[in-house]
Amino acid sequence: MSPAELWQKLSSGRRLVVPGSVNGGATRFVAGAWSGPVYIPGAGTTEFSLKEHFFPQSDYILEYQRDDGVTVTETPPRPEPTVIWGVRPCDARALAVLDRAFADPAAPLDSYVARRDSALVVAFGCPSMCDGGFCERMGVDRTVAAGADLTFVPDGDGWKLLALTEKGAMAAGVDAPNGDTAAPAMAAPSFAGKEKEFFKHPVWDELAETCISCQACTFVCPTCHCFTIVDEHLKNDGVRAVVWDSCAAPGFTKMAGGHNPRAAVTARVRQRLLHKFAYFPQRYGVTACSGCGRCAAVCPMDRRIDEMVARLEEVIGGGN
Amino acid sequence: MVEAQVHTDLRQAIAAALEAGVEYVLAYVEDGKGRVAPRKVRTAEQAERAVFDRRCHQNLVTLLPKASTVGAAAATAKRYGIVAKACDVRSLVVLLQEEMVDRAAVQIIGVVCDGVEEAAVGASSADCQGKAAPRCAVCRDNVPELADVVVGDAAKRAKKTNDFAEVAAFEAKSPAERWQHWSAEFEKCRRCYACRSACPLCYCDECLIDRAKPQLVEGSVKPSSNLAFHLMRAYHLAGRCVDCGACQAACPEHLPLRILNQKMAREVKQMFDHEAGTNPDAKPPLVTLSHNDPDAILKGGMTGE
Repeated sequence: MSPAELWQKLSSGRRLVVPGSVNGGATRFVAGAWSGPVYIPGAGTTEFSLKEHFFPQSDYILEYQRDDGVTVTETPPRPEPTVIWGVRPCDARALAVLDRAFADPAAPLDSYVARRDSALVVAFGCPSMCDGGFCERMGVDRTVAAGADLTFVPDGDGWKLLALTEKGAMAAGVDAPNGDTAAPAMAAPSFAGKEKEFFKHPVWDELAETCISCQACTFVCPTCHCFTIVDEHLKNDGVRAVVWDSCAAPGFTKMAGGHNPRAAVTARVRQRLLHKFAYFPQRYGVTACSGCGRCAAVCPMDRRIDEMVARLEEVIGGGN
Repeated sequence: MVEAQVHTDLRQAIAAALEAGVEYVLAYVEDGKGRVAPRKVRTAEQAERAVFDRRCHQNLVTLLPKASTVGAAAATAKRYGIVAKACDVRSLVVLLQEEMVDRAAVQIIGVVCDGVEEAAVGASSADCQGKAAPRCAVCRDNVPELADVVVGDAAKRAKKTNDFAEVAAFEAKSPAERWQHWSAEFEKCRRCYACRSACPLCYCDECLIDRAKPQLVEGSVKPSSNLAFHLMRAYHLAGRCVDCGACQAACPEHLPLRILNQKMAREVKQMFDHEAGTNPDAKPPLVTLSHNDPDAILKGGMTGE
């Protein structure tokens, strides 16, 4: 099935979300950004990742009114059926990372699960490596977008459709996935198990030396998923929101009473790298970086996570 | 002067600073793969890879230790070197005036600049080619004052007077148009605070925006609180911002933040005849009490002209 045929099939009765931008801002996945016939993504990624569709920057989860007592009303999302079209393998793989954090059956984040369930993710493999990306270095197959429901695989000048989930197969009316299309296990850097030994190594100072703790990398990152909860009230009414937070922020670990275990930038840079390349793989078996390259593109100081990983491999050894 | 000569002189100046005992020199360093990024240069070997060209758009003053973060005593106990363009030096001048940096603790290697390009943001999107940084079009002077040593051809000096044309063009719009413009722009802000972190002059230990008790500005993304944050930041930089452009270059949503600061800079220029960062001996107007203050409040209350 060609992209045009699938687009035709999926575009009725579903909200279509494709790469675009709002008010001339950064590129991202936007509902209704494309009204022509089939959309085929160009090379490279959007500047902001897909994660904001499942894990919005500000997610208002409840509201309350105070009269004699307090009335609390939960405000769960009611997502419409959606097709997210034109996703790249790096972002599809990142969804597999977010799923482990937020769709863990033992402790699911209901709003995330509801948004995921309502969306069909249609991906396009990349015929070649894009500028700035390093997905293969992170063990991501750039041709087959593991983590998506349906993926177009580059096939000569055209595309070959592959269903990766039952949901995708049903929506497209194609064969259900067989074992061969399961996410291939490719080697990705992991320092799992070595973090204690190297926790106080001077390499972390070296890696942190030009970080200005600005958080932009964590905001554009498709896998970063730390959040905080804020209450906002005006007189007798208020809302509670889940909002993005960032381990790069100096105040991220500040505790009541004022102690801050990660007051130093070195500690914060170490945390971000170890979370992606040691703690997450240790707990979930997958490296929490899909090599999309957005962090490097956005960094005001032109820092590159792929080079930081390479340096860690030199020092700690045996990254893969 | 050819680029090779600039690099030779730059590397010599960095090596000399290291020999003179600075902890490190903040410089732009080539990584051997055609990319340039800021680094703390600590060895003569690293100094050999230092460069200065159009790619060197960052303001390294942001990375300089300040009294607010390390304590006044610690800040002066060590010395640091820094490679700085004229605009960067102007931001350093403000830090000197505010006693955040001790002049004796900084070895300034000034570089004559022909303008820089900002390629970092959006490098993975279609328009990844380097674009001339917008601030360079209104650069008041491209040869750094106050530097201990200047690298590059000072004969290429080009002084300009900022006519604030961008601000004037914006002000020519109707209030409704201006409101619509900023409402649309601030709707995009994700509140990552990269603008604040990239700013050499946003050095408060605790930003008002981060306070939970009392909560002055809501923490979630909404146009009203985004607007409050950006206006607060613009006011805090009034009479201080030198238009180094770091905030706008850092913004992942490409918000046109400079114009807010330029508006304040023009107000300060018109009211107090002060241009931030141009004269280390000048008293910053917003901390100066003067009988000639144009504000009516000093002439007998709020009712005055």
